[in-house]
Amino acid sequence: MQHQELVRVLKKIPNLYLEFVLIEKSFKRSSDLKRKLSKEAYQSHIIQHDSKLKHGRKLLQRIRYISNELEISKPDFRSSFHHGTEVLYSYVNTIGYEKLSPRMKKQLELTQLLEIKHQFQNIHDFFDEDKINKLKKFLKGKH
Amino acid sequence: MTYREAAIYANKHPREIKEEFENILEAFEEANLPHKLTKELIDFWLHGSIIINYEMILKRLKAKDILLSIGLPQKSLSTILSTHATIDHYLLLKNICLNRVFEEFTSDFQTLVLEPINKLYIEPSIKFENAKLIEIEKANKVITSLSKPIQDSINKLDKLNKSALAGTVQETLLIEFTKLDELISDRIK
Repeated sequence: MQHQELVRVLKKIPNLYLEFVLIEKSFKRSSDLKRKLSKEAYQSHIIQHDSKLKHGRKLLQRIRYISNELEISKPDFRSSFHHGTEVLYSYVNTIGYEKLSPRMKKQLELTQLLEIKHQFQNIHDFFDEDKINKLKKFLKGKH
Repeated sequence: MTYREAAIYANKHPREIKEEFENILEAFEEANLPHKLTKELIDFWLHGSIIINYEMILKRLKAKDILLSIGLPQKSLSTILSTHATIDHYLLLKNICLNRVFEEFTSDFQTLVLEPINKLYIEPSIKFENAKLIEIEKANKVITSLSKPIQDSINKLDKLNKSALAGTVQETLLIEFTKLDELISDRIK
Protein backbone atom coordinates (compact mmCIF):
# COMPACT_ATOMS: atom_id res chain seq x y z
CA MET A 1 0.00 0.00 0.00
CA GLN A 2 1.49 3.29 -1.10
CA HIS A 3 1.05 6.81 0.26
CA GLN A 4 -0.04 5.52 3.68
CA GLU A 5 0.40 8.90 5.28
CA LEU A 6 -2.03 10.64 2.96
CA VAL A 7 -4.61 7.86 2.79
CA ARG A 8 -4.70 7.61 6.58
CA VAL A 9 -5.76 11.26 6.84
CA LEU A 10 -8.24 10.99 3.99
CA LYS A 11 -9.97 8.11 5.75
CA LYS A 12 -10.89 10.40 8.64
CA ILE A 13 -12.89 12.75 6.46
CA PRO A 14 -16.16 10.80 5.82
CA ASN A 15 -16.70 10.57 9.59
CA LEU A 16 -16.80 14.35 9.89
CA TYR A 17 -19.87 14.47 7.70
CA LEU A 18 -21.63 11.89 9.90
CA GLU A 19 -20.82 14.02 12.94
CA PHE A 20 -22.31 17.00 11.19
CA VAL A 21 -25.55 15.10 10.57
CA LEU A 22 -25.71 14.17 14.28
CA ILE A 23 -25.28 17.79 15.34
CA GLU A 24 -27.94 18.80 12.83
CA LYS A 25 -30.40 16.38 14.44
CA SER A 26 -29.76 17.68 17.97
CA PHE A 27 -30.16 21.26 16.82
CA LYS A 28 -33.81 22.17 17.27
CA ARG A 29 -34.47 24.93 14.76
CA SER A 30 -32.57 23.25 11.97
CA SER A 31 -35.34 22.82 9.40
CA ASP A 32 -36.48 26.38 9.91
CA LEU A 33 -33.00 27.74 9.40
CA LYS A 34 -32.34 25.52 6.40
CA ARG A 35 -35.12 27.26 4.53
CA LYS A 36 -33.99 30.75 5.45
CA LEU A 37 -30.23 30.56 4.97
CA SER A 38 -28.05 29.57 2.06
CA LYS A 39 -26.36 26.17 2.24
CA GLU A 40 -22.99 27.51 3.32
CA ALA A 41 -24.38 29.96 5.85
CA TYR A 42 -26.52 27.21 7.35
CA GLN A 43 -23.52 24.90 7.70
CA SER A 44 -21.34 27.50 9.34
CA HIS A 45 -24.21 28.51 11.65
CA ILE A 46 -24.54 24.94 12.91
CA ILE A 47 -20.80 24.51 13.37
CA GLN A 48 -20.53 27.81 15.22
CA HIS A 49 -23.41 26.81 17.46
CA ASP A 50 -21.71 23.50 18.24
CA SER A 51 -18.36 25.09 19.06
CA LYS A 52 -20.02 27.39 21.62
CA LEU A 53 -21.58 24.51 23.56
CA LYS A 54 -19.81 23.34 26.68
CA HIS A 55 -20.14 19.64 25.87
CA GLY A 56 -20.32 19.92 22.10
CA ARG A 57 -18.67 17.68 19.59
CA LYS A 58 -15.95 20.27 18.82
CA LEU A 59 -16.38 19.68 15.11
CA LEU A 60 -14.80 22.96 14.07
CA GLN A 61 -11.58 22.24 15.92
CA ARG A 62 -11.43 18.74 14.51
CA ILE A 63 -11.91 19.95 10.95
CA ARG A 64 -9.14 22.48 11.45
CA TYR A 65 -6.89 19.79 12.86
CA ILE A 66 -7.58 17.35 10.03
CA SER A 67 -7.22 19.89 7.25
CA ASN A 68 -3.94 20.90 8.79
CA GLU A 69 -2.84 17.28 8.82
CA LEU A 70 -3.95 16.92 5.21
CA GLU A 71 -1.80 19.86 4.21
CA ILE A 72 1.27 18.53 5.99
CA SER A 73 1.07 14.90 4.87
CA LYS A 74 3.17 14.10 1.84
CA PRO A 75 3.02 11.29 -0.73
CA ASP A 76 5.84 8.72 -0.91
CA PHE A 77 7.34 10.24 -4.03
CA ARG A 78 6.92 13.45 -5.99
CA SER A 79 4.29 13.87 -8.67
CA SER A 80 5.39 15.10 -12.08
CA PHE A 81 2.00 15.92 -13.56
CA HIS A 82 0.55 18.96 -11.88
CA HIS A 83 -2.28 19.91 -14.20
CA GLY A 84 -4.75 17.28 -13.08
CA THR A 85 -5.72 13.87 -14.28
CA GLU A 86 -7.56 14.99 -17.40
CA VAL A 87 -4.42 15.50 -19.45
CA LEU A 88 -2.95 12.27 -18.15
CA TYR A 89 -6.06 10.34 -19.18
CA SER A 90 -5.62 11.53 -22.75
CA TYR A 91 -2.11 10.06 -22.62
CA VAL A 92 -3.44 6.80 -21.15
CA ASN A 93 -6.14 6.55 -23.79
CA THR A 94 -3.68 6.81 -26.67
CA ILE A 95 -1.64 3.88 -25.33
CA GLY A 96 -4.10 1.77 -23.39
CA TYR A 97 -3.87 1.12 -19.67
CA GLU A 98 -2.34 -2.37 -19.97
CA LYS A 99 0.61 -1.16 -22.00
CA LEU A 100 1.53 1.63 -19.58
CA SER A 101 4.91 1.40 -17.92
CA PRO A 102 4.74 0.72 -14.15
CA ARG A 103 6.11 4.14 -13.38
CA MET A 104 3.35 5.86 -15.31
CA LYS A 105 0.75 3.72 -13.53
CA LYS A 106 2.18 4.90 -10.22
CA GLN A 107 2.07 8.50 -11.38
CA LEU A 108 -1.53 8.11 -12.52
CA GLU A 109 -2.55 6.78 -9.11
CA LEU A 110 -0.71 9.59 -7.39
CA THR A 111 -2.35 12.33 -9.48
CA GLN A 112 -5.76 10.82 -8.74
CA LEU A 113 -4.94 10.87 -5.04
CA LEU A 114 -3.67 14.45 -5.13
CA GLU A 115 -6.73 15.60 -7.03
CA ILE A 116 -8.93 14.22 -4.28
CA LYS A 117 -6.69 15.81 -1.67
CA HIS A 118 -6.98 19.22 -3.28
CA GLN A 119 -10.78 19.03 -3.20
CA PHE A 120 -10.81 19.81 0.49
CA GLN A 121 -9.79 23.43 0.64
CA ASN A 122 -12.34 25.03 2.98
CA ILE A 123 -14.79 23.94 5.66
CA HIS A 124 -17.81 23.55 3.37
CA ASP A 125 -15.92 21.06 1.20
CA PHE A 126 -16.00 18.63 4.11
CA PHE A 127 -19.83 18.60 4.02
CA ASP A 128 -20.20 18.39 0.25
CA GLU A 129 -21.88 15.06 -0.43
CA ASP A 130 -20.56 14.72 -3.98
CA LYS A 131 -16.99 15.17 -2.83
CA ILE A 132 -17.44 12.78 0.09
CA ASN A 133 -18.94 10.13 -2.20
CA LYS A 134 -16.08 10.54 -4.63
CA LEU A 135 -13.66 10.11 -1.76
CA LYS A 136 -15.44 7.00 -0.47
CA LYS A 137 -15.40 5.48 -3.94
CA PHE A 138 -11.68 6.14 -4.16
CA LEU A 139 -10.95 4.69 -0.72
CA LYS A 140 -12.87 1.50 -1.44
CA GLY A 141 -10.52 -1.47 -1.50
CA LYS A 142 -7.69 0.45 0.18
CA HIS A 143 -6.84 -0.79 3.61
CA MET B 1 26.01 6.09 -4.41
CA THR B 2 27.48 2.81 -5.58
CA TYR B 3 25.50 0.23 -7.54
CA ARG B 4 25.31 -1.94 -4.43
CA GLU B 5 23.88 0.87 -2.28
CA ALA B 6 21.44 1.76 -5.02
CA ALA B 7 20.34 -1.86 -5.21
CA ILE B 8 19.55 -1.83 -1.50
CA TYR B 9 17.62 1.43 -1.84
CA ALA B 10 15.61 0.21 -4.83
CA ASN B 11 15.26 -3.37 -3.55
CA LYS B 12 16.63 -4.82 -6.81
CA HIS B 13 19.64 -6.78 -7.93
CA PRO B 14 22.82 -4.72 -8.51
CA ARG B 15 23.17 -6.20 -11.99
CA GLU B 16 19.76 -4.89 -12.93
CA ILE B 17 20.67 -1.41 -11.73
CA LYS B 18 23.92 -1.50 -13.63
CA GLU B 19 22.20 -2.51 -16.86
CA GLU B 20 19.67 0.28 -16.40
CA PHE B 21 21.99 3.15 -15.54
CA GLU B 22 25.32 2.34 -17.19
CA ASN B 23 24.56 4.06 -20.48
CA ILE B 24 22.78 6.98 -18.84
CA LEU B 25 25.73 7.77 -16.59
CA GLU B 26 28.12 7.42 -19.51
CA ALA B 27 26.12 9.92 -21.53
CA PHE B 28 26.02 12.26 -18.53
CA GLU B 29 29.78 12.08 -18.23
CA GLU B 30 30.22 12.85 -21.89
CA ALA B 31 28.00 15.92 -21.56
CA ASN B 32 29.93 17.19 -18.52
CA LEU B 33 27.06 16.57 -16.13
CA PRO B 34 27.41 15.13 -12.62
CA HIS B 35 27.49 11.40 -13.28
CA LYS B 36 26.74 9.73 -9.99
CA LEU B 37 23.80 7.59 -9.05
CA THR B 38 21.45 9.47 -6.74
CA LYS B 39 18.26 8.59 -4.92
CA GLU B 40 16.50 11.10 -7.12
CA LEU B 41 17.59 9.29 -10.26
CA ILE B 42 16.39 5.97 -8.91
CA ASP B 43 13.05 7.52 -7.91
CA PHE B 44 12.81 8.87 -11.42
CA TRP B 45 13.29 5.36 -12.79
CA LEU B 46 10.96 3.55 -10.37
CA HIS B 47 8.21 6.08 -9.68
CA GLY B 48 8.51 8.57 -12.50
CA SER B 49 8.95 11.62 -10.27
CA ILE B 50 10.88 14.11 -12.35
CA ILE B 51 14.42 15.13 -11.38
CA ILE B 52 14.84 18.79 -10.58
CA ASN B 53 17.12 19.89 -13.41
CA TYR B 54 15.45 17.72 -16.04
CA GLU B 55 15.16 20.44 -18.67
CA MET B 56 18.76 21.56 -18.18
CA ILE B 57 20.02 17.99 -18.54
CA LEU B 58 18.10 17.53 -21.79
CA LYS B 59 19.56 20.77 -23.07
CA ARG B 60 23.11 19.65 -22.28
CA LEU B 61 22.47 16.28 -23.92
CA LYS B 62 21.35 18.14 -27.07
CA ALA B 63 17.99 16.42 -27.05
CA LYS B 64 16.59 18.85 -29.63
CA ASP B 65 19.08 17.79 -32.29
CA ILE B 66 18.45 14.10 -31.63
CA LEU B 67 14.68 14.46 -31.84
CA LEU B 68 15.02 16.56 -34.99
CA SER B 69 17.10 13.83 -36.58
CA ILE B 70 14.37 11.29 -35.79
CA GLY B 71 11.97 13.46 -37.74
CA LEU B 72 9.92 15.40 -35.21
CA PRO B 73 8.93 18.91 -36.33
CA GLN B 74 10.84 21.81 -34.83
CA LYS B 75 7.76 23.75 -33.74
CA SER B 76 6.46 21.38 -31.06
CA LEU B 77 9.88 20.38 -29.70
CA SER B 78 10.02 22.93 -26.90
CA THR B 79 6.68 21.76 -25.47
CA ILE B 80 7.69 18.10 -25.72
CA LEU B 81 10.97 18.70 -23.91
CA SER B 82 9.50 20.76 -21.06
CA THR B 83 8.49 19.28 -17.72
CA HIS B 84 4.85 20.17 -18.44
CA ALA B 85 4.51 17.65 -21.27
CA THR B 86 2.50 14.52 -20.49
CA ILE B 87 4.87 11.82 -21.66
CA ASP B 88 7.02 9.20 -20.01
CA HIS B 89 9.85 11.57 -19.12
CA TYR B 90 12.23 8.88 -17.94
CA LEU B 91 11.99 6.82 -21.13
CA LEU B 92 12.62 9.92 -23.22
CA LEU B 93 15.69 10.84 -21.18
CA LYS B 94 17.01 7.29 -21.29
CA ASN B 95 16.65 6.95 -25.03
CA ILE B 96 18.35 10.27 -25.63
CA CYS B 97 21.23 9.05 -23.47
CA LEU B 98 21.33 5.79 -25.44
CA ASN B 99 21.51 7.76 -28.67
CA ARG B 100 24.37 9.85 -27.30
CA VAL B 101 26.47 6.75 -26.60
CA PHE B 102 25.60 5.24 -29.99
CA GLU B 103 23.31 2.50 -28.71
CA GLU B 104 19.98 1.53 -30.20
CA PHE B 105 16.68 2.83 -28.85
CA THR B 106 14.78 0.61 -26.44
CA SER B 107 12.01 -1.51 -27.95
CA ASP B 108 9.18 0.40 -26.25
CA PHE B 109 10.42 3.85 -27.28
CA GLN B 110 8.23 3.82 -30.39
CA THR B 111 5.01 2.79 -28.67
CA LEU B 112 5.39 4.56 -25.32
CA VAL B 113 7.00 7.83 -26.33
CA LEU B 114 6.87 8.60 -30.04
CA GLU B 115 3.29 7.53 -30.72
CA PRO B 116 1.76 9.51 -27.85
CA ILE B 117 3.86 12.52 -28.82
CA ASN B 118 2.50 12.21 -32.32
CA LYS B 119 -1.09 11.94 -31.18
CA LEU B 120 -1.03 14.49 -28.36
CA TYR B 121 1.28 17.19 -29.70
CA ILE B 122 2.09 16.93 -33.38
CA GLU B 123 -1.24 15.99 -34.95
CA PRO B 124 -3.21 18.71 -33.12
CA SER B 125 -0.63 21.33 -34.06
CA ILE B 126 -0.78 20.32 -37.73
CA LYS B 127 -4.56 20.44 -37.59
CA PHE B 128 -4.42 23.89 -36.03
CA GLU B 129 -1.98 25.14 -38.66
CA ASN B 130 -4.19 23.92 -41.48
CA ALA B 131 -7.27 25.53 -39.97
CA LYS B 132 -5.27 28.74 -39.59
CA LEU B 133 -4.28 28.74 -43.27
CA ILE B 134 -7.91 28.36 -44.37
CA GLU B 135 -9.01 31.25 -42.16
CA ILE B 136 -6.18 33.43 -43.45
CA GLU B 137 -7.24 32.82 -47.03
CA LYS B 138 -10.80 33.82 -46.22
CA ALA B 139 -9.55 37.02 -44.59
CA ASN B 140 -7.32 37.72 -47.59
CA LYS B 141 -10.32 37.66 -49.92
CA VAL B 142 -12.14 40.30 -47.88
CA ILE B 143 -9.06 42.51 -47.62
CA THR B 144 -8.12 42.37 -51.29
CA SER B 145 -11.67 43.28 -52.29
CA LEU B 146 -11.26 46.42 -50.14
CA SER B 147 -7.95 47.51 -51.64
CA LYS B 148 -9.41 48.85 -54.90
CA PRO B 149 -11.88 51.34 -53.37
CA ILE B 150 -9.12 52.56 -51.06
CA GLN B 151 -6.80 53.22 -53.99
CA ASP B 152 -9.55 55.05 -55.86
CA SER B 153 -10.29 57.28 -52.92
CA ILE B 154 -6.57 58.06 -52.52
CA ASN B 155 -6.34 59.08 -56.16
CA LYS B 156 -9.40 61.33 -55.86
CA LEU B 157 -8.19 62.95 -52.64
CA ASP B 158 -4.76 63.61 -54.11
CA LYS B 159 -6.30 65.78 -56.82
CA LEU B 160 -7.86 68.15 -54.27
CA ASN B 161 -6.21 71.30 -52.96
CA LYS B 162 -3.72 70.06 -50.33
CA SER B 163 -3.12 73.41 -48.61
CA ALA B 164 -6.82 73.84 -47.93
CA LEU B 165 -7.01 70.40 -46.34
CA ALA B 166 -4.01 70.95 -44.04
CA GLY B 167 -4.67 70.17 -40.39
CA THR B 168 -8.11 68.64 -40.91
CA VAL B 169 -9.40 65.20 -40.13
CA GLN B 170 -9.65 64.54 -43.85
CA GLU B 171 -5.90 64.91 -44.23
CA THR B 172 -5.11 62.43 -41.46
CA LEU B 173 -7.57 60.02 -43.08
CA LEU B 174 -5.71 60.36 -46.37
CA ILE B 175 -2.44 59.55 -44.60
CA GLU B 176 -4.02 56.50 -42.95
CA PHE B 177 -5.40 55.36 -46.30
CA THR B 178 -1.97 55.49 -47.90
CA LYS B 179 -0.53 53.57 -44.98
CA LEU B 180 -3.23 50.90 -45.36
CA ASP B 181 -2.63 50.67 -49.08
CA GLU B 182 1.10 50.17 -48.56
CA LEU B 183 0.49 47.52 -45.92
CA ILE B 184 -1.88 45.57 -48.15
CA SER B 185 0.33 45.71 -51.21
CA ASP B 186 3.47 44.81 -49.23
CA ARG B 187 2.21 42.00 -47.03
CA ILE B 188 -0.67 40.36 -48.83
CA LYS B 189 -0.25 40.61 -52.58
